[in-house]
Amino acid sequence: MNPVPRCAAVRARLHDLLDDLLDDPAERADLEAHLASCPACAEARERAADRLASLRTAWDVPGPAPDLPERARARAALSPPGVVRGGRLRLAATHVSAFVAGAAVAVLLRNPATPAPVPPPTRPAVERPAPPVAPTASEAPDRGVGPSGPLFAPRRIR
Amino acid sequence: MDGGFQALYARYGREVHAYAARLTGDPYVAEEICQEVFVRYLQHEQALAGRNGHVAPWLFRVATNLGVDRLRRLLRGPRGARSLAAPEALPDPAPGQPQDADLAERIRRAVGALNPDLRAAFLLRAHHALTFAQLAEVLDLSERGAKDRYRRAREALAAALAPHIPEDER
Repeated sequence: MNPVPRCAAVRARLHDLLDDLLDDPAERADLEAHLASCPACAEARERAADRLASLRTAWDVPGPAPDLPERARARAALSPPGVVRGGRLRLAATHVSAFVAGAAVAVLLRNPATPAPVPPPTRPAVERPAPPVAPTASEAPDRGVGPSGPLFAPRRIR
Repeated sequence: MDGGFQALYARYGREVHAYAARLTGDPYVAEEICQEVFVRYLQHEQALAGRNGHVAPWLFRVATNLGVDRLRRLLRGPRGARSLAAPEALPDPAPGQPQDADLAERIRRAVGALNPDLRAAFLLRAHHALTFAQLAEVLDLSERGAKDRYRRAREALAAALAPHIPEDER
């Protein structure tokens, strides 16, 4: 068996070995056996591992602001679970409001000659409060972080 | 409960922030994303309490969704994603920097040139040492799908960095 092609084949799989991407245990065992018997390939593995480690440590980034957890707590307190910022419920509330307004107009148009009934004192028709699910713009500021992507689904929490 | 949050933030806060910073290439956006991740954690704290220490994938999942969403919106925008981690946004390495610093800069550029999905997969695995099972959970993929995505990211990076890495170390 020619050792050079064998070494080349092993080195081509070194990163898969280091990255734990080998699904076949027999192939892994075969590679490990070669590395145990071939100093040149073992050295190549060490270099590749060092390179991988340096890649993990080379990219430093500044840490978060010290007050970030306090800001997160304050924001979470403003919008506890169940209070929806924007999204589908805001749209639904808009539709409900539009439906109520449309229905009122339709009733008026169907009975133009009918004098407006005196509303019972216990049911003020005009002073209906807004649906509670529609936050105002000031309650739901656009902080630049967009809506949850398709991967974020709190209901799928396991 | 509050002490629980403090402990959780002490354990994962810096890690999530670093991930968001590498993913978006912008420390201000990273700050915003990191804060949002922990706001959402606090909002779902009771539901997440039953995960018995498996909160990290959930945190990275939220950070990934927010970061990838932000990157995709920028890519659709008039300026593309130039402002976030794209190669043009990174300065040239200073003359006289050691070779490793130069390579680190090239790695940053190459990672910044990956599409957001590949970028997330690579960073989560290579920089934040998630297992493939965790990566699959974060990216909502099968474990094989997570491996495939990471492999594609690594191959794209290897191609980009090939001229700068000795042949036997690629």
